[in-house]
Formats: sequence, structure tokens, C-alpha cells
Amino acid sequence: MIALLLPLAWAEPPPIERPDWCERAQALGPDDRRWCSSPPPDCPAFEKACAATRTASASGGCGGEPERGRAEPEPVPLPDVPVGVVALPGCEAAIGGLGWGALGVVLALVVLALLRRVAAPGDEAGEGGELARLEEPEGGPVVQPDGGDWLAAARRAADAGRLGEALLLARAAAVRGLESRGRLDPDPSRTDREVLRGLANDPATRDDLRVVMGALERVRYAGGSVDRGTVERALTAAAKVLARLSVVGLLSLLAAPAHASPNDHDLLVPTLRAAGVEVLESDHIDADAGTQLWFPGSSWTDAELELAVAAAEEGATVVIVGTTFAASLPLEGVVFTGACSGVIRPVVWLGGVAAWPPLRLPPRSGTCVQAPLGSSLLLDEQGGAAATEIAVGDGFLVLVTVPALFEDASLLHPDNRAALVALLALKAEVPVTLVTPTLRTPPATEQVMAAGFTVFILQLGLLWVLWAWRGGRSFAPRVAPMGGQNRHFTDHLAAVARFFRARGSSEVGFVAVSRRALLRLERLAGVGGEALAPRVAARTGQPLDLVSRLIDRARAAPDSPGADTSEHLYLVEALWKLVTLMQTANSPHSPGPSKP
Amino acid sequence: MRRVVHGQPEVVRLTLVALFAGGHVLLEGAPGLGKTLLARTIARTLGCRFQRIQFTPDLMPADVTGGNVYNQAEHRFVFVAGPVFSELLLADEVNRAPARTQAALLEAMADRQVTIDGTTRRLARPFFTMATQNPVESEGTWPLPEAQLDRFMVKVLVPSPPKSVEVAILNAHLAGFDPASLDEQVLPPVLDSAGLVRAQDAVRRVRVEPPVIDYIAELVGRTRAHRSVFLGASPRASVSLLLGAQVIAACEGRNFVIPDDVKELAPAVLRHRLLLHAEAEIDGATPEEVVAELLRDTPTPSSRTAG
Repeated sequence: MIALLLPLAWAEPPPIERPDWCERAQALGPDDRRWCSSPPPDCPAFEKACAATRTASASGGCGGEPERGRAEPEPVPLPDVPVGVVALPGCEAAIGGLGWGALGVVLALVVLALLRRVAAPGDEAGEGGELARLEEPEGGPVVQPDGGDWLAAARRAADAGRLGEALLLARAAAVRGLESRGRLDPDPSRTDREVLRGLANDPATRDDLRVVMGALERVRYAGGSVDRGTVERALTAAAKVLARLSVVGLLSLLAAPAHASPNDHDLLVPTLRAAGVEVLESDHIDADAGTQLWFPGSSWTDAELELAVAAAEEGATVVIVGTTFAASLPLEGVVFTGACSGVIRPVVWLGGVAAWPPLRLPPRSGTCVQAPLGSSLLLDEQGGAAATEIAVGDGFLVLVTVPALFEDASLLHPDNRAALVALLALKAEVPVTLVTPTLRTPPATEQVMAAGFTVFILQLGLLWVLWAWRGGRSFAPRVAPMGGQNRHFTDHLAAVARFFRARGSSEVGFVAVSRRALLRLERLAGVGGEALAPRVAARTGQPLDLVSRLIDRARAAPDSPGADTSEHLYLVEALWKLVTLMQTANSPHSPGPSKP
Repeated sequence: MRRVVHGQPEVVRLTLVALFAGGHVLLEGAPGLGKTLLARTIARTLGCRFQRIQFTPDLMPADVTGGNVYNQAEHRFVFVAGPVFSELLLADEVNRAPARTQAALLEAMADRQVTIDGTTRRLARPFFTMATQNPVESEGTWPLPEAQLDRFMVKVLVPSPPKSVEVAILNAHLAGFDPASLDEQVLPPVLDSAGLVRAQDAVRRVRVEPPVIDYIAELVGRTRAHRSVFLGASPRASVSLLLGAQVIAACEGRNFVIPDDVKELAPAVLRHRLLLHAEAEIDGATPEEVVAELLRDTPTPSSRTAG
């Protein structure tokens, strides 16, 4: 239960980098303004923007009802609002007043920018760029030149007669371009052939890249000579790769928000990683993946829900984040009352919830879910429930009906950050797997649909051009997965050990690991209760008294975790070793190191 | 070979890599997975002189190397060669013999010679040792010492076959396949000893450019600096990677080595040469994970733009 897992004192959450919107004034969209009632600390620009919005509302300029008594005396001038990005309610007439002439100018500029990038993808580095500037220093890159910079350097090397170097730079240009567009994970350990295999779903790019890499391979590894014709072909191929990326990238740029905003999710992964939590990504729920954070949006199905419940029954913790609980959850005791956008209303309030820090969240209203008896609740400072935890089989479902908890403005509140890390990480199922398409760059088609009408018309045309050019192939840019894949149970435990070593607190991790280890031992042994220890001892060859003591200690852990000492670490590692020994004993044919 | 050894392509490939690179192979897997069958199949297809030693707790070093025996008729000692004087040696369940007997193989594997009573005797070329061991039993076994493990060019893990392969095995037996009789009707030799030596010499001529050599040295060097590793891989591992990568390149029809060849071979070459810290083992770390991490962290030559 959440309440039982709480540390007595909250550790100071690790600091995170403040986003631009904290420091620089910008227009606030409707979603951004939700946070004006609970502004993140140390965000002066955001507070001023909120004040300016209130002032504008009070003066009746562009808005709804004026708010009395809360407006700051000096409004902050807002930057120009990009077309199709943010439109304050009530301001449509003002935008319409710009007229078709202004829209035409914008369109012309966009088309010019597109043509420039397509025609000369390598010219953007400028003539002054030298190879030395592009090299990455020992301590890591200081500047992040994009593919165009590398290609320009390659051309200069070719012009200077350094043909081998030109090939190397052409390869770097194409690969860096793909990496910067999210088509490839940045991975210096990847070989050229692995890069090509990674582009199997994009044959045009792969074929162009093969020209570059084939030439480089012959020169670099086969001792072959290189002539100017080969280099020119490689440069042309690299330029084609970048040009193709430029078109798709520009399209995405048009459709994407022009700036980060308080309701983005840019800080979620950095926050978890700063706390020592390993973060993976997956596109599906998996029973073996431990804690999974699922953002189903409004399109979840009964089948997906059943998958989540099945995973929880197997021991996973699935955190479902959404406001629309239209589907029926096949669980006894949980009632979803149709589509809604609000908070969870508990049937029974339990003690212990006060141990959680009150969350700083935007105000909400409405009733959506009745939580079953015995559920733990996560409250905000208004006393509303933001999340509930339901035990299902060997695992848990955590329902979060306030997705704002995961937004950047929320994560800038230290208490929210600490609660989130505790909610996701201190339940022994770390690493956390994000099961969501919404935190990735959405496909271009979705971005187009999400944009304003004017931009939509423009993008429709661009889509058509792109469609024709690429022969009808799919072009959706995707951010590649973070290298995540389902991990073995022992990996989860290893991550837990690392996590609470880093955090300097072992109690919570010990309780959680004990529970997981016990469940796994019971499953591996096929027995529980008193018969468990003898069975485990017999299978693993460990002394019975040792195994019995460990299991007894693990069973007592939830109620009496003991002092926060290094003993926890020993116990966790011993339990963990026991599980791995059982796994080995249960799988005589599994490959592994010889441990006679 | 596929007609006899079903569904172990990776095992067969790595074993042949070691064979053509002039190395030795340690096969680790549960009983009944075809390790011995693989060795016999290779011996049959190569037409080599094949000897098998079943390692047992009472096996003596002389049972491996041979020794001087007194000939009463001639009133002198004569040397009786042991099974190690062969071209393909199968050391079955090598961890069942005590360390002293295992050590009898050391000199043979490293230097292709044995020294008995002060007399050094050269072994034949080719000389290829395939050793097997069972990872799940601990009673009456002696784990191979690090020095012995280092003599094996690769350690190959023999996995359990998937259901489809098991079905193929059953069908083969239904059709009359008898693993006890791999006669020439089933497996005609495709290469003789001289041919194998020529192939080994040819493989050594596959080109390896400095960036690849540097990559190998970097990769192996990192095993010695890894936080979880108590004892990293030796330069002999680097040499094994180099020679094995040449074989893989040749198998792929290339006369030059690329980093992919090294990456493919690295787990099999390095996994048995890494000794982990006790803390790391308690943490659940395995040599395989360490090698995988090193491969993820070591930049390939192509990614070093300036280089």
C-alpha cells in the first residue's frame, strides 16, 4: 500500500533544470493557465505571465470573466503569438483581423524556408566552420552541430583533397542528421551495418546511407583507395538523407508547439533519472516489466485494460493515467461511472494518507471513480484524491485521474516531485517503463491533426507533396525507444538496490524487495507458508536455518522494517541471491555461468 | 552438418570459428543437447584423427598425455601416446576431473606440445580441443581454473532447443537416424587435415586495418577497468578476438575485418575470461551483462569522426 511504503521523512528531491518558460515571459495557453493557481516555485516569468493574463482578463481585452483582486499592477508585454500555436479564448477576432494578406506572407516565408532547406541542406553551417569545431572534445560535446554542419565540413575536406576524411564526415553528417531527428538513438557503439539494419523500415534512406557507408567501409577496413567520384557520390547520398529529413522535420516543426510550456512532459524522465531511477519505454504493457506508467489517453479499450489487470495479477504495478475512464475495469469493487474528467472520490477514507505531502495541483471538479475499501489514496492540498492504489493479485493498479501530476509545472514543485518518485520507484519494480505514445513525438499525421485550422490547410498541402515524393510510404517521424526492453526480475532488484543506495535510505526498498522476492520464491517453489523455506533450501542447497531466517525476516518486513541500516542491504542482496539460485535450480537447461 | 546437428546454428558457427582460427572451444550446456554429437560430427566431416576422453574424478594426467611404460621384452621404457596425440580431441565433461588432470591439457592447448619425463613432444597440426561441461551439477566437479579457461578461445553456451527443433530431432530419429553410427553414408568427409591447415593459413591473410585492431584493444582493455570486474581479459583474449574476427570475415566472403565481426565474437571470447567482484555477483551481475555493457559503451571506429 502506498501509505505503508512511505518514508518517515521525505528526502530532498534531486534538483532539475528549470525550463525556459520559468525564466522568459511567454503567452499562456488555456492549459498553461490552469497552473496559475498553483505556480511552480522560482518561476518569476510564469508568475508574471499569469499576472498579465489576469490583468488582460480584468481589462476585458481577450478573455472571459475578470478576476478581482488578484491582478498584478504591471502587465508584462507578451511576445508575439505564433500562428496556430496559442490562441487565447476570445481573441479569435483579433487574429482574424490580421487578414489574408498577413497569412499569405507567413505562407510564403514557410514555403521559402522549405525550399531553402530542400535545395541546400548543407549550406547552413556557414563558410567559417572548420573541422576542429565539429570534433567532440574528450569531455563530451560542447556544441551540437547538426547534419548540415558535418556535410559542409565534408565538402570542404573533399575540396581540399582530403578524400578519406570527407567520407568519414559524410557518414557523420547522415548519422547525426538521423539522430537529431530522432530516427536513430545516439549510440557511438553502433557499427555501420547496425545503423543500416536500424533503417529497415525506411529503404530510401537506408539505400542512400549504404552508398556512404559502403564507400567508407572499403576505404577504412579493406585498404581500398578512394577517388573523387566515390566521394562525390557519397556526399550526394548524404545530402539526400539530410534533405529528406529536412522536409519531414520542417513539417513536424510547423505542427509542433513553438515553445515548451508548463503542461509539457519534458521534465518527467529527467526527474526520475535524477532520482536514480532507470526509465525505459515500451509500446505495450508487460507482466514482467515491473512498474509501468501507462498514458492511454481517451482511446483505451477493454482489451488493454484486461492486459493491465493481467499484468498486475502477475505482480506488476501498472499506473494508469487518464481522465476518461469510459471502459469497464474487470475488477470487483471498482466502479467507473462513465466518461468524466475529475478526481477519484473514495468510498472510505483511510488513515495514513496524511503522511504524503499534499500535492500542488490545479483545481478540479467532478466525480469519476469510487475506490474500493482498503485502497490507499494520494491527496492534493485541497483534500481531493489524485490517485488510488488497488491491490490486484500479486501486483497493483494505481489509478491517477489527474494527469497534470506528471506535467512540468507539477514537477517543479519539490513535494510533487518527491511524491512522484516515491509512487513510481519505491515499489520495488523499478526501472519504470513508460507505456505511452503520448510522451514520444507524435507521428506527423497526428501533429497535423492537432494543429490549428490554418496550419492544417498548409500542412495538408505539404503532406500531399511529401506523399507524392515518397511514393506513398509512411513518413511518420518517431523518437526511437530509449533502448528499453523488458527486464528480468533480477534486473529490477538490481535497480532497486542501486536506487536506494543512491538515495541513502534502505527501509522502503527493503520492504518492497522483500515482498517481491517472497512472491517470486513462492512461485518458483510452487509452495508457500511453512513449506517454502525447506523447499527453497533443498533446491538451492543453502542451509535451512539461513533460508528460514531470511524468509521470516522478509515476511515481517512490511510491519516492522527495522532501523534504516546497512542490514537492509545485506538482506535484500541475500534474498535476491536466493531468487537467482532458485531460478537456476528451476531451469537446468538454462545457459549460464558454471557455479559448481 | 545440419543433417545431424539440428537447430544449433550459433553453436556450430562459433565452434567452426574456433576451429579455423586454430583455437579451442569450451561447450557449456546441460546433458543431452548434442555437444558430443557436434564434436563427433566435426571429426567425421573433417576426416581428422579423433580421440575422446571421458573426464572422471579418477582420471590421471597420464591418461591424457600418455607416458613411458616399461617394455619387459625390450628391457626399456617406451612411450605410449595418450589421446591428446590426436587432431581433434573431445574432452567430455572436463570439469569432472581434478585440477591436476585438467592441467595436463594446459601445455597441449597453449603450445601444441606435451612434456613427459623431461621430454617435449610436439602434437600434430591441426590440433583442436573441444571440451564440454555441465553447468548445473556441482557434486564431484572441479571448476576449471582461470589459466585453463583462458586457453579456450571461445566458450559457447549450448541452449535448449525450441519446440520446432525438437520436433525435427524426433522426426530424424523416426526416419532412422542413429547418432551412434555417423558412417560415411551419412557424413562424408569434406576436408582432410591438410586442407584444414591450409584453410587456417588462408584465414590469417584476411586484412585487419589499424582502426579494427585499436577497437579490439580498446574493448579488451575496458574489461580490466570495469567496476564489476576483478580480473579482466588477457592479451590472449585480444589475439583470440583478432583471429576469430578474421574467420568470421572469411565466412562472410570478405577479405577484410569490420567491427561487426569483433562485436559478434566478443561475448563468446570474453565471457569466460572475466572474473567478477563478489559484490557484483551478489548484485546479480554476470559476465555476459558486463560484456554487453562494454559493447554498448565502446565506440566503434566509424563513430570516431576525427579518427
